[in-house]
Amino acid sequence: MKKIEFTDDFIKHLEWLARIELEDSEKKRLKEELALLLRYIDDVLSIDVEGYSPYIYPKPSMELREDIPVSDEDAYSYLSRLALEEGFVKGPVVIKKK
Amino acid sequence: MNIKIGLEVHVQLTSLKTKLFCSCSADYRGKPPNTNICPVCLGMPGSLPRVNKEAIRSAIKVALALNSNINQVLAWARKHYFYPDLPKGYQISQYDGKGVATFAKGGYIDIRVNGEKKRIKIRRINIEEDPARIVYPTGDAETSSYILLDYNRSGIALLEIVTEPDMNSPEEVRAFLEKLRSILEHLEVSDLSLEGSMRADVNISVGDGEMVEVKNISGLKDIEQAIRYEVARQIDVLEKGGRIERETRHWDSTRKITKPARVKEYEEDYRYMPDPNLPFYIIPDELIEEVRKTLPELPEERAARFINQHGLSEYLAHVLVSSKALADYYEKVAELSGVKGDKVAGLIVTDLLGWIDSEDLSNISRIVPPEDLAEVVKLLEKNEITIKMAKEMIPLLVRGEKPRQIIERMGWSVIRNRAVLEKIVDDVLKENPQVLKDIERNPRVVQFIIGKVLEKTGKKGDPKIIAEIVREKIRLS
Amino acid sequence: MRAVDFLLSIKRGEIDDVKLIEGFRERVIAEDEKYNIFITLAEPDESFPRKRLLSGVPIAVKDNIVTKNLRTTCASQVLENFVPSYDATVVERIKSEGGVIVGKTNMDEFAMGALGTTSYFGPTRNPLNPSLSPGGSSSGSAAAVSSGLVPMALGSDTGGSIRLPAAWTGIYGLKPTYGLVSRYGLVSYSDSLDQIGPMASSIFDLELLFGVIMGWDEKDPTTYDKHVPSEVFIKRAFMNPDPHIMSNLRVALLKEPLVHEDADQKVVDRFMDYVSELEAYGALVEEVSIPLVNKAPQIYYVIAFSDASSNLARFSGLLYGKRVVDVIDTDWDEYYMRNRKLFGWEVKRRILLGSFILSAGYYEMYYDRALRARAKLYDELNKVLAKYDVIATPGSNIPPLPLDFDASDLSRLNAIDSLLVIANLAGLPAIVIPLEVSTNTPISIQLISQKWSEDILFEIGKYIALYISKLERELEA
Repeated sequence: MKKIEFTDDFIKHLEWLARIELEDSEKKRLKEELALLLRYIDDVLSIDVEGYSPYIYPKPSMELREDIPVSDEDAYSYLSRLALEEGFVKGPVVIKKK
Repeated sequence: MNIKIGLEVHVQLTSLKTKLFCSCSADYRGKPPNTNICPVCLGMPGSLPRVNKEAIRSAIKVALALNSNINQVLAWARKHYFYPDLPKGYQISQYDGKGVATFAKGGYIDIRVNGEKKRIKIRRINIEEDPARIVYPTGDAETSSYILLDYNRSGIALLEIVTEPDMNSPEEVRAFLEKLRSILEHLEVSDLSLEGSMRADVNISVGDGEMVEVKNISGLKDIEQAIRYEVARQIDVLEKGGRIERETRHWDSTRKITKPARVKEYEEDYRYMPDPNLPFYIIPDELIEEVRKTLPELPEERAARFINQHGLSEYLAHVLVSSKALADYYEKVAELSGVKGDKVAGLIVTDLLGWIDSEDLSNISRIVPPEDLAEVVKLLEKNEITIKMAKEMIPLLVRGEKPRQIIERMGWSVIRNRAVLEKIVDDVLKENPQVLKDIERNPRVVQFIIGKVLEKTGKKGDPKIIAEIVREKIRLS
Repeated sequence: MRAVDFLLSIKRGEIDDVKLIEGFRERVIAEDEKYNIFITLAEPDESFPRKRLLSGVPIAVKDNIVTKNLRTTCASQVLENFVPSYDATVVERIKSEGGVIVGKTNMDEFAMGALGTTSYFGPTRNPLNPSLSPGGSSSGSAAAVSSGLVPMALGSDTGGSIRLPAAWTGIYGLKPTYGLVSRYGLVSYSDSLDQIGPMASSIFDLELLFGVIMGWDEKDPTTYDKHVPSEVFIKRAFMNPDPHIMSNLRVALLKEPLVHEDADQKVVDRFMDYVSELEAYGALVEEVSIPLVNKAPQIYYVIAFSDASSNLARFSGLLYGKRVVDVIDTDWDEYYMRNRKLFGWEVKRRILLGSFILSAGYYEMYYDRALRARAKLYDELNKVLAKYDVIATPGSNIPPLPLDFDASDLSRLNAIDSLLVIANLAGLPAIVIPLEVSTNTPISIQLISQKWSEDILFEIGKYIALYISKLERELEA
């Protein structure tokens, strides 16, 4: 894997991946701190993990749920703080017209 | 030009009682917006998913019916993308790799186009959750300045069925989708006549052109139309010396055209990862075997039975099983009338279907009750009507008239059809050869024959016409 | 007053069951100025069910555990106005046993931090010394207990967030076996590491609260249904420990935290004095070395950042939480990216880095590798626990840090992180038991045992509390 360079484009890429818009001061700070953080977590790359499979689940298996409907009396209240339009949640359009 | 088409079909498992990851009702249609919801399907902070057991059973059924290999370890992945209809910022789906696996791999569906059999390969089958429903306040995405969201659909169980790019024409796609639909109907996992229950992304490449993806088309009819349009468009571009670049397009179902999707600044990176909230579930062999044993008769087997036991032609048999409702309808009419075979099937396929919109097939029993068509078949069998009359009756039945009413109104209650009556007279004469010899000595023989004929028509034959025919026949003989 | 004593007094009719919550708000308001413990206070509610396990006991709840109709902010501006419509399972269980939720405690934003200083609502101060950090991320819950406002509180522990503040404020804290306490209603940070656990000023109260909240939950597919029954803990919360426990105890003293370059020698020396006492009481203590422990925080951060980027993807401002952009005259990406500016810096940088780790090409490099390293650590810890009953470390090998400590370089926290995160990575139970308190250097011991063996941890904890620690002596039960 090539060495990561903390260019403006790279930071823009991260903003997009995380969907967080950063201020200029934050971008500068991120560059500095990313260098520190990545140097630290890169230690993981030096661990010999030969012969180990990924440990994803501390509890490795689960049971399934029966297909029995339960009506939720609180249904209305989950969205009660929103200004609904005829019961619908209002949201932004997907892509704004130019 | 060589056309290659591959499909990613999403079908809702409409027979389930609850959503995929929560106990909200799966029957969301027709409910006031945002009333069929809970913390889980709204992606509320702190909520956790719980997998619906019956969804897994349904998926096993489908995988078996499509000859697909079920992965024994059921595992779930998060697919991250950002869209207003996706409440968690990721969709819980399945994935091949990264410590998890797709639900089932491989498989095929055999289709028939113009009498030719062809095998379409399945790449994989996944289970995933449906996003919320987006409604445009102006009715149109172009002119709306905001959107409306209804989460009643959020979390409904979907099967994603992905094919290899094995289809070479819109007709093959149609045949594939009809067959898939019929299989799912026979399995009783999905009623695909429900609006929005079948959606597809289509990959199309023509000649040397690159692959174009047309996304999110709803319903069989639109899928077929979109493919026809897109194939024609690409051929047109290529013939004019243009090039087809790799792109994503959208289907405009109002204008019936595909158009380039307005692209985002960057490509979406799905960042698949195992969902840490959903540990593995080892699908027990016994469960798969139990499902296998209870698999119903599937369209292919049903067609074979129609051919072997009902004596149906291959063509009619396959048309009938292309829809469970249609095959069921045929069997019901056959049972009620006591008549099976091409005569009944032909009346349904060649005549009745001509008067019914293909989208309404699942309602066929409500449009013309099988009892009514069975009555027509019985009338035909008893020679009370001719095949021509039967065919004439079909559109009237579709309009809601009853066979008896039609016969009354058309004045067919008394059989005046010379052809029908002539045939019966011939039969009677053939059955009573000795009467012709007696005719000189005994004029009452004429009356005897007329009586016999009347009896055969259930006393509905017009005696005047019968007498004319009998006299003619005797004179002639 | 210990909750167990209060409950016994009620039972004997010596005390009014509303005594502990009477005037609670007034007391809190007076204390809160000093320590900034609560984000939201509940209205005093005397309608709790009587004669139950926790009737009338005031309990503080970390603000990442959802409470019906009581604001739950995760100490973030993003959720500043979020009032959930449902209770977390642990909250439901506490309420049904008569426990009174008195308020929601301050914490590091979304539990990301070790000092309690990343809260949007300002840092919590350490009741032992207000110029020091109480430890994070369950900073407010620890301070609520340590200051004597409540006998018990709920915290959550993803990488030491219960145990570090317990160690730094001189109280008891337990990170249960993964899957022993339901996470339903805990706002996820890193799902396979997060556990809710009890914090208390008495080991007996700690066990009682654990007994009430633990156990299988149908809403959380990662909870176990096979475990020591809750009744055992509830009963033993009122009982003295096994007097012979020390003579049969095999303790593995983990070397790495004691010789860590950032470890505080005074803390380590004092801790070793208590280890000698354990030996004097009959325990077998042997030193073990697991060098991988020093890299456990790096493994932990890779997993936790990635999971966080996924879990926090849902905070868009659309269905709940704060928004700075109106839905009209914007588009989804702009809306989403701007609303997420409300996250604090620690949260932002973790999401940014986590999104990157999961992105194309880096998953295998970091995430997959970290999960394999996690398997290795799990293996090495369990090998030790096959020979010893518990692994012992200091609860913290450094004194509480000042509130202005700069943790932007996380490697500066390696000394404490390494001894804490190992229990989360391996899903093991871990308890912190205070040994002595002082304004600058509280001393405590952490014990890690095999999965599902919380009972041993409580027994040893009680023994230490009664016979070894220099705390204001716990009374015998």
